[in-house]
Amino acid sequence: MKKRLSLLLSALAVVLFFPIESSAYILYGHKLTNGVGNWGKNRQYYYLHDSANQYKPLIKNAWNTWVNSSSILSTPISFRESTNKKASVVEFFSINNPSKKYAGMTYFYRYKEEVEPEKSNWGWTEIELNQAELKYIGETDQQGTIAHEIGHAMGLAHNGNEFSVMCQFAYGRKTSRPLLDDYKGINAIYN
Amino acid sequence: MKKGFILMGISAILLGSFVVVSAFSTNTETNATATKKTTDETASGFITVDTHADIVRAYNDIPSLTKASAIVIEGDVMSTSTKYYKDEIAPCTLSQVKVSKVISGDVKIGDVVTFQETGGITTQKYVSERSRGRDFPPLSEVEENKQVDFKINGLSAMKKDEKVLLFGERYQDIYLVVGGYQGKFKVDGNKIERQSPKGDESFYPTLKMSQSSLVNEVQQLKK
Ligand SMILES: [Zn+2]
Repeated sequence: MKKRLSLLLSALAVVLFFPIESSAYILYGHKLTNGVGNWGKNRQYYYLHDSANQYKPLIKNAWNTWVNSSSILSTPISFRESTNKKASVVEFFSINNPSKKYAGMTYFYRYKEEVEPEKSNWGWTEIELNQAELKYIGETDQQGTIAHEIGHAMGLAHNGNEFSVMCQFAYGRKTSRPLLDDYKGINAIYN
Repeated sequence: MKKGFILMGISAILLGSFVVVSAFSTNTETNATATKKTTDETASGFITVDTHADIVRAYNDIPSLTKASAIVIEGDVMSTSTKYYKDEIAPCTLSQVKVSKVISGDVKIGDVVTFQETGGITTQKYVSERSRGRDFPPLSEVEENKQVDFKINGLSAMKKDEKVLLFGERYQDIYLVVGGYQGKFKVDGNKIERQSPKGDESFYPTLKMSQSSLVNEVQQLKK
């Protein structure tokens, strides 16, 4: 009986010290310098190069899944398309290069240099979509890959949770839109 | 009886917490490794640029790599050069690889084959030009010529004098590494192992094994 009681107490201690929530996203540790929109008070913009025009509807849908999150969890994300490149902080373009085995690449920049998001904040990002690889997956998953790259651009790293848009497609991602853990990650950075 | 139920419930919670805690500690280790790597390379004199690239075609085991490959070889990197594509950010590397072992495919020991990979050695000038000119101030001549190791997910392209084991697919008159970094193994004596992309250490299979078991598996599959 005593044994049971001590087991019970240690179990309680563990539960109290390690809250179960707050774990299923991984952050780079830095962020977009001017934030992701601050609940509309400081709206941010993305820009499409001509080369990315064929993905315009998918890019728009992918952004919507990040912006319109309130049915799952509200976040400060407020982004809109702009035709002014200089006003934007996320730029999209696409290439068609079968020698590059990557479907999406995100590049982080700060004044004067390309930076690593684990080491410093970034002022803007460029997302490169490779038609030669994206053609191997359906439109829904293409939109998922775009949403995944947007997650990188805002500061989320990969995780192994299949129900997070930040799980790599190649590791079995089962969602093409951000879900609870993804929004929690954003709130942990910008709220 | 009631106590039994409470105990069971608590044990379940306890178990759940342990799973979460272990996920946490893995992540911490991951970060520590990544930081260490970067410091080492900075000491070698290169500025590093690290790009986040996502694959949609996974080769998580030897059968899938074998199926996609025209040749499987061990070789030594004799020389490398950088190749650029117009209007693309990441440069590519062409490596001349001298074959030291043929595991599969129509090549001979001693042949020199060309492999192309994404990423490689370039200059600050190139990186600033390809960033599409967002308020990059002009660089001084010294800054322009600074060497940059342009990595993909923390992984460098092949470098001279490296010993590598490669799964190659045919592309025009050269070879590509199957699945980007996925078809490239580091060779350490009889052991081979893939390098894990940065941040993916907990989910990426490194396929560490002896060369002899790889040879057996590939040749069995190619029959
Ligand atoms: Zn990714």
